[in-house]
Amino acid sequence: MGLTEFGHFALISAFGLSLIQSVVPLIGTARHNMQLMLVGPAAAISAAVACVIAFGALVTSFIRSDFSVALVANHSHSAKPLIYKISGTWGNHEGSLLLWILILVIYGAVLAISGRTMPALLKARILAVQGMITSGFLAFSLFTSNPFIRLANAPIDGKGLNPILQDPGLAIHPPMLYLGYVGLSIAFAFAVAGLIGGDVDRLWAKWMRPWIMAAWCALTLGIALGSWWAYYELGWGGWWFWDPVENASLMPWLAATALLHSAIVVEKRGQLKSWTVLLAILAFSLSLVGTFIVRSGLLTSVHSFASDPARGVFILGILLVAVGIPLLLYAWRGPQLMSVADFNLKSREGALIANNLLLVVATAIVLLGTFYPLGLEMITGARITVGPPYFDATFNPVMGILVMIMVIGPVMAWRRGATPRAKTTLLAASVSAIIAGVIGVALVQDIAIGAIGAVMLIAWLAMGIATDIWTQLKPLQRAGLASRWHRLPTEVLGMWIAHFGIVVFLLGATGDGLFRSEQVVRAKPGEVVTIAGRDVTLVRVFERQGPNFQALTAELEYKNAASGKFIARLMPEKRVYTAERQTTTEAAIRPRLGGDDYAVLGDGDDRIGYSLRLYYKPLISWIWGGGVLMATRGFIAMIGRRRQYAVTAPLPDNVARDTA
Amino acid sequence: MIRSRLYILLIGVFVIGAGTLILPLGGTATAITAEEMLADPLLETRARNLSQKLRCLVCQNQSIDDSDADLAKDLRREVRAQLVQGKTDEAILSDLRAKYGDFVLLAPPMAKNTMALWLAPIGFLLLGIGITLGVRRRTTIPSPSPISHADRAQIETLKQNHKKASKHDQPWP
Amino acid sequence: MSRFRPTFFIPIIAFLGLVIIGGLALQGTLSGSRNPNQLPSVLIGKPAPDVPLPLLKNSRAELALDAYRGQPLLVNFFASWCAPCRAEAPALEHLSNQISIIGIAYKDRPQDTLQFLEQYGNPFVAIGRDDDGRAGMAWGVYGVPETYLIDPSGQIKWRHAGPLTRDVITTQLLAKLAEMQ
Repeated sequence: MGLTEFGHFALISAFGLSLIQSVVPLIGTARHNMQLMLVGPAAAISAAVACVIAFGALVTSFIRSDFSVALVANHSHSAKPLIYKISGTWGNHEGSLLLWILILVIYGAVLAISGRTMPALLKARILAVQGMITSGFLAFSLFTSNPFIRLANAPIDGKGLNPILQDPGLAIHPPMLYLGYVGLSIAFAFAVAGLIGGDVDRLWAKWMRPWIMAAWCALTLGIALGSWWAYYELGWGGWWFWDPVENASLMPWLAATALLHSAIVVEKRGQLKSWTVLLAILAFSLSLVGTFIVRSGLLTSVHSFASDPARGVFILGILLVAVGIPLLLYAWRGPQLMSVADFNLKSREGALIANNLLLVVATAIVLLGTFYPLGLEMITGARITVGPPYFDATFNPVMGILVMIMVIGPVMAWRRGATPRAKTTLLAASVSAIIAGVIGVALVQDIAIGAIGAVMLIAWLAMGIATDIWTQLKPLQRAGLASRWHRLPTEVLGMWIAHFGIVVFLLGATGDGLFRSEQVVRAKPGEVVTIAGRDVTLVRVFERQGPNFQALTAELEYKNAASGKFIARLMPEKRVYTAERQTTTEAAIRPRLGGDDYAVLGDGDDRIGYSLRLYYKPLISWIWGGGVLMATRGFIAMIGRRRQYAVTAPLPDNVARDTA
Repeated sequence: MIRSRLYILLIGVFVIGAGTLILPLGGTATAITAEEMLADPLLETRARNLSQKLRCLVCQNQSIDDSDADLAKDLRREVRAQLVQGKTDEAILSDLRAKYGDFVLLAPPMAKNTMALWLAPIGFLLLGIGITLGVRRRTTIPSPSPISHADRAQIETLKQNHKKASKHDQPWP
Repeated sequence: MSRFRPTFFIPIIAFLGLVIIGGLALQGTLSGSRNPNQLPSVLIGKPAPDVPLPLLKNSRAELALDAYRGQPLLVNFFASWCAPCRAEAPALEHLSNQISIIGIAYKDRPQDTLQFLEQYGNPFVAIGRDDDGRAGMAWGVYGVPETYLIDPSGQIKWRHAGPLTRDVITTQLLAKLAEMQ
């Protein structure tokens, strides 16, 4: 079909346009030539249009099941439902790379269109940096991972998609994640542009913040989606595995969180500039490192695409240039950004420095843990594993300290000292923590020390936020409740929601981690197993035929053990996908706010019984609920900015400005 | 003073908070079947804990507790067999380590070549604090010299004058 | 105004370290000298494990490795259900002319093993049975096929996980054998 060739051509034009975008605006800034600088936005928008065409062409090939396109032949199948044909476009290396590029150029175009009042020099430099990144990735795609390659002899049908990947969660997870990873490139471009021009100041931070927020929200949602998907699709019952590719998504998130907070200080107080620039560079660099891990085949992971070390070399090259040069620039020009510190360490700035420090240390721990086995192997040839026990022992305590600071920071004043309400908040938080600990020890037998600590931390944070809200709202008591909320800056509301999201997340993680119930049995049809106050009857096990699989399904009837009342029917199964000859386990999950019922079917037959694993996981969905709550911060931020602009919009000269 | 008590309270909560969460929070299901489980619940708990520390060698980053692979089953059986024989947890882990190498342990052992890995977290923290404090020392405005007596007297006079003058003003909104 | 602060160079230095590791690893993978799926054996340089195994053809007798002291020896773990084992059968056949090979049937049924040997040839001087895999564990076996080279004094000198290909034999095995001479 000509469409594929057209898409291919569009991609090549996008490459050319990006190259122009990288070079011309910079020349414009050097020569102070406005015409040249304006080439930036024009090139960015055109490149975006070209990539939309290219991506559209690829998706169309998948929808039409055009098996003359090599990618479609290798990764799709005519029997696949439409939505998975579409999502199959990015279920492979070449297609997901094209998606990455698409999001990259769209971000660039949005930046080009918005930000009309942004200083022209800054904008030109940012678009130039964006253009360089885009060119690099387009080169990678066109020269090593071209999605538009045709097959001389089109097969009758495709090789099909991995059945595990045929899932709605998977359809959204990569795009959402990429919105996050790639969004950080804008912050990165801001940082590099700032280093080049030396104009890192409060205005720079103000312009950068919405981009950081957008990327951070998307990344939070993307990671939460991935974790939720792994839980309900893989049948392992877990939600985080410290897998190298998962780590690759966590590291940019940690850096972006630090960046978010650091940028606040730059915008409000003009401090921590070099920190912020470094964090912006780091966040996107870690996104690139993540790409390297996933696509180079160096680290084995359940997430890796078909590994090709030759491609890894190309990405390493991109990495070296895209990260090395900015870091060199930072080493050289960074010190000039440092402003005289006019604050005490015992202040909000101090708390935010601690926040930055802890998040960077946490990121470094994850980075070290992920790459140490590789490094050791290179140096000594020894093979070791760095798995969950290592991260639990090192990463979690650092996060624990951070949670402590999350209550202290907001009650500190800028520049020095604590606000008057600090005493109330800290006292309330400490007391609740101690009470929670005591209750924990009293209620749960053989409670682990770590469990006590976790429960105390949650109480500390929850009460800290609650008291903070109360002490801030009380002075506004004169007006009614509704206008109280309106008087608070949306930033504070957003902070409460985001931090509360962490409370919710922690509740979910500890609820499931510490208080879960498990039953592993071999049961024959008719037998009853009791778990968490439920009587579970294995009614029958039967075979069924699905659209592209055959399944062995168990019917489990859940009844309340005390009252005998019917609760639910769960049907876990084991599936064999005919085209791919793969077996998957489909866990049956009954998600509820209070906890999930989780059932997995193993092997067996009617004679010897079937292997059944039943779980009750209290509060586990709060893990992802917490993530969504954190991401909601972003929407609040967007509403808030509009309000802010409304309040500070310039008034016509003949209207007096009210000082209220 | 309430202040110092508050600090003690804070530090206490801090310490516990930091020591916390050495719990596994990743949460997983298990791959064991009913037949594998030992009759003695204490031994079985030890077996599960040990299994979660051992890597499934033919899987990608799973413990033998989580994996359905044949080798994982064999290793689980071996762990339980050794537990029934009365061996300690450390002995079982060393035994498997002697046969399969450090690779089989999910948490790298404390050895010369992994010392950097285990000390790094604290090292990073100390390094970070050191750099931050060091950089601050060089960029902070030096605190002003203490007020002289003459200046202090002048301040007092000014304060008295201000009080007299503002007695009749409205308080700030 | 240019200030020089060494601490600002920490990120770039750390990054270059990462790149060097990544680069070396990639180079190793590309040149084939590094295979993420191959686990080095920790028993190299140690005496071969002394686990009693019944013989395939006579379950009352035991396989005794000491009988083969004084000459280099290959120990090959195989199974009838293992596809790569069939692939390496001709290579083993060829090797059996140069060196004695002992086979250990890993988690297999005797009748299946015998059928396998009939179909693909029997290069072994003796065959033991490891029905439940416990003996394999003592050797550090984590899959089949695996081949161990034992020197005349009974020490393990080399282990290869996966089928023996011509490449592996010529570049590694023969080199190790030559060392022993």
